[in-house]
Amino acid sequence: MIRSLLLVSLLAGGLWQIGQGGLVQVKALMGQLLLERAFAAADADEPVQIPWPGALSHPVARLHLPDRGIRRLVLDGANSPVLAWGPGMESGPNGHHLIAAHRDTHFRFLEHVEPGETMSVEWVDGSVEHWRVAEREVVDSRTTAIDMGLEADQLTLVTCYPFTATTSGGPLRLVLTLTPENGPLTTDHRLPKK
Amino acid sequence: MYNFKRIIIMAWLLIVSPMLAADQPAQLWLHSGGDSERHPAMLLETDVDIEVSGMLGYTLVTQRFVNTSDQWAEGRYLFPLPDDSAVESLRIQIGDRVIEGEIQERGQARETYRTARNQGQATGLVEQQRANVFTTRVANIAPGETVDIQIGFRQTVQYRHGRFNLVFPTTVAPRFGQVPGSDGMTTPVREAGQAGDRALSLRVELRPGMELAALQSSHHLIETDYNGERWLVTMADEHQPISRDFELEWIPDPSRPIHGVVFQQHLGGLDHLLLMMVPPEEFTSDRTPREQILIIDTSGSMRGDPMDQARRSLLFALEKLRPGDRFNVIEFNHRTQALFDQPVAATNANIHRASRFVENLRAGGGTVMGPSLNKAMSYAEREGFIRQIVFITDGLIHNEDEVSAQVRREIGNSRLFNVGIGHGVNSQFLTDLARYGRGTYTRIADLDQINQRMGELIVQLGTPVLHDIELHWPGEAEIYPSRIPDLYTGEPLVVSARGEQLMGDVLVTGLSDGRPWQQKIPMESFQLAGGVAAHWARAGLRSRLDERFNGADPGLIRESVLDLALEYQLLSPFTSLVAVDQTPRRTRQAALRRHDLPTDLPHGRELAGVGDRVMMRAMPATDAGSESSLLRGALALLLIGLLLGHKRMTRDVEHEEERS
Repeated sequence: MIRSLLLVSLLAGGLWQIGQGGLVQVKALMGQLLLERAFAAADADEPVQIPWPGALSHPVARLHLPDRGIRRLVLDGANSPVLAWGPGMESGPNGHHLIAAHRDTHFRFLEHVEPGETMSVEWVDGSVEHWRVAEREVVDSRTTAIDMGLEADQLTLVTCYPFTATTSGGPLRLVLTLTPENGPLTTDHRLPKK
Repeated sequence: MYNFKRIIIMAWLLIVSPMLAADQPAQLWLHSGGDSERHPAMLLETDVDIEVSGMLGYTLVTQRFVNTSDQWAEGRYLFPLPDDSAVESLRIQIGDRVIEGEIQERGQARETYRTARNQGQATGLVEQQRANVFTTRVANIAPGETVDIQIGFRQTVQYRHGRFNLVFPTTVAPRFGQVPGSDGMTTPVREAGQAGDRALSLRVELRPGMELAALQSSHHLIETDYNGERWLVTMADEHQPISRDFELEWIPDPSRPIHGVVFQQHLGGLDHLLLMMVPPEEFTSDRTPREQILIIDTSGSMRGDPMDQARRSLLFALEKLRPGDRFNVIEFNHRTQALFDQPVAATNANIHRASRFVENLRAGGGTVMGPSLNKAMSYAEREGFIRQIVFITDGLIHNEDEVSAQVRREIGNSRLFNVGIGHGVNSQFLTDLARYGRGTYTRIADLDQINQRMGELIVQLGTPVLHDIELHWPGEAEIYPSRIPDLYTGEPLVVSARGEQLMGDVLVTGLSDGRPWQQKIPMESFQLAGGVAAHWARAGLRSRLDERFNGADPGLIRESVLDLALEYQLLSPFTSLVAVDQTPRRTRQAALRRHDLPTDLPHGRELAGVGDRVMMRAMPATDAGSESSLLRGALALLLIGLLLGHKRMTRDVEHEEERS
């Protein structure tokens, strides 16, 4: 009796957990594919393209690491529902951009990104910026916040740390600080945040 | 088979338990309306202000948090306080609004809080969860806003053998474990080597009430300043590591005689006085004979080192008996056995016999402690002797109320000294009992402390510095404790009184070294101190709660405790602190507004490249948890396979056996 109860609850729990985990991965993959069309359709005149009816957000940029073969479409807003579909971006009033994504999906590759590496950001208007990783550090989210008041010459990438953690919701975050690859930016191509 | 089942059950727990809400330990947790996510609020700084008058400490802790989320939020946090402390005030500053807490009946306070919270008012609530664990909740914190939570609590300064000692646990948050009845919250835990990041400023204003020989801090560098009446202690450097508790120690001039001092506070039309008497560090008397009854626990759990050490302590005590004293030794496990029928004179022959008895004591059997105490208290009291019962045990007392009631009924003029050995002891119970028995409680947690602690106790037992004490107040007074204990070396005597007109000298009389002794503390020497009334009220609360041992009706006790707690605005098992801002501040529009609220640059934090306006954003949650889910799922399926495979294997083996 106890054995069958155990079996049933194990089966139910196991399948549920696998379903949950699988759903996250599928959403992450599907999101990127579905967003392509919206990103392609967006331009300087029509920057906001709703990817599908009822979507929570829309793509604003593409993050590109040619050496690693990584392309990620970045969405507007860095809260949990948005992050399920893709990395999310928030922007401060002075031009500082923050991109956050899950450590087990879109930002898994950050595990191996070291200072000195470069990546590019392609905005919906077609302009491209080149950035270089200046700093890589692990911080405690209980004692550290992100200063959104910084200037436009900084891009911050955030994901959870460590990548090998077997439980979720830990306090540590990996923070990558990027600076423009060829000195200070001369013009700010970036779209103002609505 | 049994082991296999156990593995399955453990694995099942491993897989299933993360699905049940697992609380993250940390400090102030912010909950947003309708959102199940919780964000840790960022602790910006902690400011501690302590005032000490004699043995009364009043501490104001101010912690500044910032709501780094983009939602209106409710914050909750738990904080343990030093033993014997009581929360007295709550003050919350949200943005530029200040709200002060007031004491209400517990259920009513919770209702007040809920109503205010749901109406969008800024509000806060402090509840007592356990004797020394309190929870605070603050509702309707705007996105990006800073919140200052200021909690005022009283604590008693410790005094042991010539040293006053005040501890502020810098871990005033962390202690791990679930607290029953507190919505399943866990108390914060601090990770090793991570605390130095927080800024702590600490300031102590000390009025010791006597000349000091030394003032020092055990773990921190301090600066002191003396103006002839009070000492001002500050941290020499605010960036000192705060991973160690702040501990301040002051030592009175050791050459002084018995020193009495009175602190005074006038509150609500009544005078409150607090008398503190500090014994001299060394005192011997050869004129007051004692009758010592030594009771020793010889139950099975004492086997080994504890028994060995207890035996040695007893031999030490026997050695210190003086000609003219009387004594007896009683052992108990599940039965009680006394060496002599009645206490006998401390002659060489009797002491020799007792030593042999003690050396032959062996541990074994159960623990029934009532009859041994009963026997000790039943001996007829002898004129001219002070009876001291020394009760040594390592056990948990199961029928506490019964033992307590028995002692209260029968203690008479005997003094009770309890010694608790090991970690399984109910210290609070033994302390209360000893207090009622006008003796002391000595706790020996580790066996290597036994010699030192027993040595100190034996010195105390030597003879009270002052006994049969009578206090003459300048008017009709309600005093606590109602039975005045003796004054022993190493323990100060603290008595508080309340009355309508207590303006006049206080006279203390008693017997010291066999002779009458008296001291007058003139009214002009009274020192004004803030905590006197609160101390009196707390002693009153404790005494009223203790009425249950005398068989009082729980309903009446609750009523009288509630009256006192409301009159003196004290937190108690039946009252909570609640603070409400009368103006509603949260509207639906505001709740939907994004967090583009600038906050002032938090003091004590450096943020590179910013002016006087800062925009803080909490770290986003960046873990979808898919891997842990997949891992747990795979583990579950693996186990199902194992379970089924195991079943088949066992069946196959059974078939084989049947065939052969």
